[in-house]
Amino acid sequence: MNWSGPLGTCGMSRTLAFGIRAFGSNLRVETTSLEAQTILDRYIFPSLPRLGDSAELPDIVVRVARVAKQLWASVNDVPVVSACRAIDLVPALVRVLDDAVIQRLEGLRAVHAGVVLWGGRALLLPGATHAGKSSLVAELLRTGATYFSDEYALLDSEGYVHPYPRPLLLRNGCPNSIPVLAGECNAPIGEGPAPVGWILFLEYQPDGAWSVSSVPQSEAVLALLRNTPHAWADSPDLVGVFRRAVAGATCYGGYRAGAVDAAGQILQLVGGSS
Amino acid sequence: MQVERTDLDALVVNELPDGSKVIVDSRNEKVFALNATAGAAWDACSGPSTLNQVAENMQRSFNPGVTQEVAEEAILQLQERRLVTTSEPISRTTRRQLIATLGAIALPLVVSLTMTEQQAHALQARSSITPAKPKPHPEPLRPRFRW
Repeated sequence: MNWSGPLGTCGMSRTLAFGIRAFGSNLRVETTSLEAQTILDRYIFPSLPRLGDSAELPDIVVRVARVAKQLWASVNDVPVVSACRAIDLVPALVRVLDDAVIQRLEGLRAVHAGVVLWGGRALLLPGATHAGKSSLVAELLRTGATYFSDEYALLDSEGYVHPYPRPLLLRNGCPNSIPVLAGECNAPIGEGPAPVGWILFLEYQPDGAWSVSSVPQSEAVLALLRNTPHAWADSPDLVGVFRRAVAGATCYGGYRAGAVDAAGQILQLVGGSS
Repeated sequence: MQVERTDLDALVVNELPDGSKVIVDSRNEKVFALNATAGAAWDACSGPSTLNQVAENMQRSFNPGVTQEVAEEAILQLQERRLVTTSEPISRTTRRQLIATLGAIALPLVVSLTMTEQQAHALQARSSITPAKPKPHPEPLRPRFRW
């Protein structure tokens, strides 16, 4: 599908657009649908400032166009998702934008992890997509933590974590995820980098009980290497960055049950070690 | 029996605040994680040493409760990962014997990850939309958690 057609030349109404500077990438979001514009403005990197037409060439272009009764979304002219309602475009768009932004990161290294701030230090919950990170992060936010991310910990060369505050993608028992803002969990969003205080490598077991034990920092480095989208071969600094990140952290590994129970156990654990 | 470190030129060793160590072997494109006990054994054989000397060094610098069996297990793990060589084969202490001698000391543990394995994990971690690639086999020494 050629996306420049419906948006640019097919007699559609005025194009609504805004720009975002996100972690070194220039994003441009374009749509002719007012509904889509409102939703995208609400959920695409919601805490980052919106820019007008920028002179800089965008690295990533999101387009949403209505074709018959469907809204179609593309990223850099590659079709991503279609849906009747704009809100249903958001989860797939957010994930594709994550990929695009993470691949372009400069000076930061990403780890698949939920991240919250607790007592001025970051708590990392590494895990693959669909491992239940978002539910656990949402539960921690409801108990007073500050939101950093439900998907990526961005680490700088000193090992500090930077917020990556995309909307949380929660399933709430449904097959499809829905976007939720940190504010809807009554949580503030982290404003700057923080040292890593704790790393918890938790595996979800629906019928399991909470069972964790301490993990050596060196093993945590290897576990972070298993949870990063960056290849060590392409990023030789990875080991050093992860080593600095774990150096001030208490690390645990083990099993958890549901998010509510796990959040309580985590807060007891980090309360006891802070 | 003599114990000696191998391939020192290719290894970059970093100690972490909890006493554990990360060793990067650039020649073989591997990274090793040594827990504090295995790290102490690594320190204890900085020069060619006998197993008795390794145990004594570990007792002095790490924990007076280190037994010959603990030192032996640590050296065995380092040897299996080709971080040290020994002049004679080491007989593996049974796990029950080893645990009986541990006291408050953690079981020595050396875990490794190759660059190829890491790359497979990175591809897997990239996207839920990108077609998933098969995950590499989990580390055989550490079957408890799948992280």
